[in-house]
Amino acid sequence: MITRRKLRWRIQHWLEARLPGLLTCAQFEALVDAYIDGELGPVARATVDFHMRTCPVCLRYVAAYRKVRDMAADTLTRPEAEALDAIPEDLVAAILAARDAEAGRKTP
Amino acid sequence: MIDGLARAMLEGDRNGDGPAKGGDRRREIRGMESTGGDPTDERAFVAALQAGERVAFERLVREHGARMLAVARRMVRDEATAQDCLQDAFLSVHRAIGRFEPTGSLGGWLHRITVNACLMRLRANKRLAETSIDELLPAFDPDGIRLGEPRTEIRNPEDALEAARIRVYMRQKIDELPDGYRIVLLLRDIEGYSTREAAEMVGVAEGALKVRLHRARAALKTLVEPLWDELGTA
Repeated sequence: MITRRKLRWRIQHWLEARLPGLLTCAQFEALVDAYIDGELGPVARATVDFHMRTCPVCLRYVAAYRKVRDMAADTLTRPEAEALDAIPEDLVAAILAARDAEAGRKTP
Repeated sequence: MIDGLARAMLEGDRNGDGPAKGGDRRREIRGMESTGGDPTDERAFVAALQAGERVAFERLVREHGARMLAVARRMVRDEATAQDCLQDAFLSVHRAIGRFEPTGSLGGWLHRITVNACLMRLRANKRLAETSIDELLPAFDPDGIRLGEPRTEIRNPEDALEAARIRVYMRQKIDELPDGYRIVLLLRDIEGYSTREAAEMVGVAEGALKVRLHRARAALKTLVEPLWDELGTA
């Protein structure tokens, strides 16, 4: 059985697919990256905002999408992930030896 | 992927009064920005490198090697290949330092050389090809309605231990992405390159890179979703 809320939601999406200037969820999806990266101009941004005001699924989707992007950046750029203090001494020696060989010199 | 209406909106904004390309989220190249030292010192240092002084080259390896190695570890994942990439990168530096303009950022230049060295290794191993990840992408019905249940936003971790556990989990999920997508995600979201720069580095058109970035982010979101169930919601 379909609830009144779901029926309203389906009618709304049916209209969005047919009225100019309104986005379907699939059209919204194509604009998500430009939206969260701040690359949309005012008209497109307002259209995306309007879709999110009327579509709770996409509103939650974009919040989660943005959160995962930020969590990924946080994960990979923390000092402990980068181990910045560690360049192995044997690697330094190998790099210098390769450089010396290329420069036509003998390793000191 | 992008239908007529969405494309028209993107292009209309590009021709209109939209923000500068790249958006306000454009960052400096990750972790390789100027060290804030005396620019005169840096110019003298670069001059010594360009003169072929070994001492200067060793200083370069010791001062910048750790950050470059961190970049290589992110890009290629296994330690041995990352170290090979770093070695390739420093050889490229040795060959190209004569062409480096001292007015530019040495850190940014080294970063790009490191990324290119990694991309060459990945390309040689045919790891950059685009593979199908359709099962991880959002689905829509014929009317364009998103399928699937709405999710409430994930709550923030309660303490440092939980935050650390989430980062380990995130790292595993990022590593599960095929390289062709993972690299695009890294270049745009972590290393701070613009769409145009990332497209040039990967060797694809800007439009293709945008599609790949979107698929990478959407697939990662799907892979991470079990966290929603484990952690609970906000």
